[in-house]
Amino acid sequence: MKITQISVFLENRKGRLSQVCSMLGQAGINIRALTIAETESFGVLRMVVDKPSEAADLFRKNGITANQTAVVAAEVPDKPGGLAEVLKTLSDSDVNVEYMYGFVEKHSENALLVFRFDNPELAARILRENGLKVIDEKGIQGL
Amino acid sequence: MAKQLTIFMENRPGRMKSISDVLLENNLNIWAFTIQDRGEFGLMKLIVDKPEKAHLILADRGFACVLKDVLAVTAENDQPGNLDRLTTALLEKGVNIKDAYGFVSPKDRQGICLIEVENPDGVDLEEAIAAHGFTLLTGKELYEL
Amino acid sequence: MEITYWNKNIETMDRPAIEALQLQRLRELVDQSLKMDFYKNRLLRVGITSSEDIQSLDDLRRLPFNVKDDLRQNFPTGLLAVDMRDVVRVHSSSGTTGIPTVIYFSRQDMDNWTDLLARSIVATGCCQDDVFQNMMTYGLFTGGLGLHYGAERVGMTVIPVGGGNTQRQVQIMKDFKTTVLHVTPSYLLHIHSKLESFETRPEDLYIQRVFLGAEPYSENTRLKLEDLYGIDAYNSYGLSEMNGPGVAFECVYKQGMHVWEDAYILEIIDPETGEILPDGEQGEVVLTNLVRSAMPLFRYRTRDLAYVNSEPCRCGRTHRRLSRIQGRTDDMLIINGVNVFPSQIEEVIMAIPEVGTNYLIHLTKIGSLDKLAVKVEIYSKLFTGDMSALDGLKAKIKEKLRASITINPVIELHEPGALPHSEGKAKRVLDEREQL
Repeated sequence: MKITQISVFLENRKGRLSQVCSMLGQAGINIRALTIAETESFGVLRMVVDKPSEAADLFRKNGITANQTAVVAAEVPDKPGGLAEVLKTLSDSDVNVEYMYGFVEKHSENALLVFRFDNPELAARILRENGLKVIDEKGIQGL
Repeated sequence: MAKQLTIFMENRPGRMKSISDVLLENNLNIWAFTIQDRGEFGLMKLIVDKPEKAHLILADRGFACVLKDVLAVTAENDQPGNLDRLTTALLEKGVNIKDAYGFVSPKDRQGICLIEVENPDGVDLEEAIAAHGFTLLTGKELYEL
Repeated sequence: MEITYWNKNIETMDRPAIEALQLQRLRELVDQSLKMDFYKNRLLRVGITSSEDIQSLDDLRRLPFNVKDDLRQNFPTGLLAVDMRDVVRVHSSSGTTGIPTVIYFSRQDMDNWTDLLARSIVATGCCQDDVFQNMMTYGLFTGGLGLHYGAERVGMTVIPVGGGNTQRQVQIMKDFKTTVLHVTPSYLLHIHSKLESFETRPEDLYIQRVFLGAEPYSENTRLKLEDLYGIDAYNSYGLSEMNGPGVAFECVYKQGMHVWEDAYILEIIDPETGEILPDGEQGEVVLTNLVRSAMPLFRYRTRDLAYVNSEPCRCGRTHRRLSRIQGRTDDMLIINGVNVFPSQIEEVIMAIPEVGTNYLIHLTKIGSLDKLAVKVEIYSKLFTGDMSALDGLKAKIKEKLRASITINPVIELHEPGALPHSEGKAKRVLDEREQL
């Protein structure tokens, strides 16, 4: 139930973010979620795309160092308290969240949250046991 | 100039392992490393085979790390007196050595010295050491030992 | 037990006389304050245009409380009621931010304050024959100079040694046969632990009495100190906004500190509602200083929690007694007798770009002394991998903190994300000190 997150360094170069985005756009790869770390992991751009292996190849061919990490994406009802509920469920089960980011899906009333857990399998299982929908690779493609 | 990965590390159990774990997970190889210690923290300095990748991965994991330029100096013949001649060469040109460590390359038993320098006058370092029979390895040459 | 008084008339005045005196002085204070921009409107708003509107002490309750922020916002001279040339003394104390609070004294104010201290000292049984070693910090703190002037007025032999240098302190005690100390309880405990290394036993010293203050401590600690040294230890209370030490002091019976009610109007309030609480109930100590005209303060909220004992005291003094301070209503820390607000530390940390916004104030004890460590996380963005830059960063943080809080912290650099993160309000202080 894990999906792949791609991360690259934005370094301090101007235009790097737009360079990355247009590169992906031109290759027909869609970005589902992204975040730029500001404090810890400063300068690292993290994203979830619909075709992660293609994106990884694309970066490699263009000499941009990229990293792949297993993350968990879960659907959260887009209402006040939705996030709090999810976090409480995790914390009650002693699951550690290293970082997270999210966005609202276009065609539904849900928000998608991307989590980096130290134990993604356990976390995904707990989320499902608590009635939250965990999205797999296919699900990401179809968004 | 070659790139050294410098990582900020607390001096408590498990920190070095957390770094070596990450390198292992990503199949990265360490050629040489040293630790500059300051009591409750230290700087771990590594020469790895894929520095840019290691940098990104460690940064992605929340480590404070940077890639720093270092001199990777090697001599034609590995013999006693090399270090003496090298430090003399740098001293003559007013170049200060901030940190240094070394290892022997597995390939051809070449001695390699990694040096962090302070070069306030912008001296041409390659030229300075070439005059004493030393060469600078490029990054590529260093990582692909 | 023989009781001596500095000013028997005032100290044993009956309650109606005390209250009449308070009323008279309150009126004078109101007259003085109406000349000041700060108070004019405040008093007007509650219908006080002249001292004649103060008919009884109950009218004091019409006045709004003064708080620390008033002093901070009016720094430096917003609360000064006289010309600066008539100010003969300036003292200062910690502010919640980098802005300190300042207190001004006219010549008469100084005389009044000194008299209160002389009175306090004599209440403990001291006299001109005593040799007094003042181990509190001199300078802008009121603790040092306050007791100094009081002790001189009593005629004691005053040794103005200030704090620190334990070996020298003990040597002076032996050289001059010191009989009275003014010191913090933690330092007095610390000295005891070092005596053996100075080849001195408590019996070799001549100390008979100590005045303890500047930090909270328990009855057990007082008894322990009395036992360790074979002395009598007296609790004292004061705050610079109310002059300094000398607001309240224990008499020879050590059953609570007499608040000098001819000089201060004492109220205990519920810190949440501001409602006046009866004697015996714990609440926030609120004080009106009746004997300082250079800088009037009405109903000053001290943020100290205590209760009042109005039972008659065996010493014959009619001024009510304040309990030991039970706590604070705010987050102020007391570190080796020095007041430190976590917000002062936060202000310094936030202004340093190379460290992140997550920090921790860690308090522990080394023996009986407090140790302050400030832990910060380095900020990945500005990490250069240069060791000398990190050395410089530690030194910079230490220096800026020391300049703000006056004590020396230990600085620790940590990895990003290494310090405890909390959801919701950050817990910035980890105080692992055992209560004294």
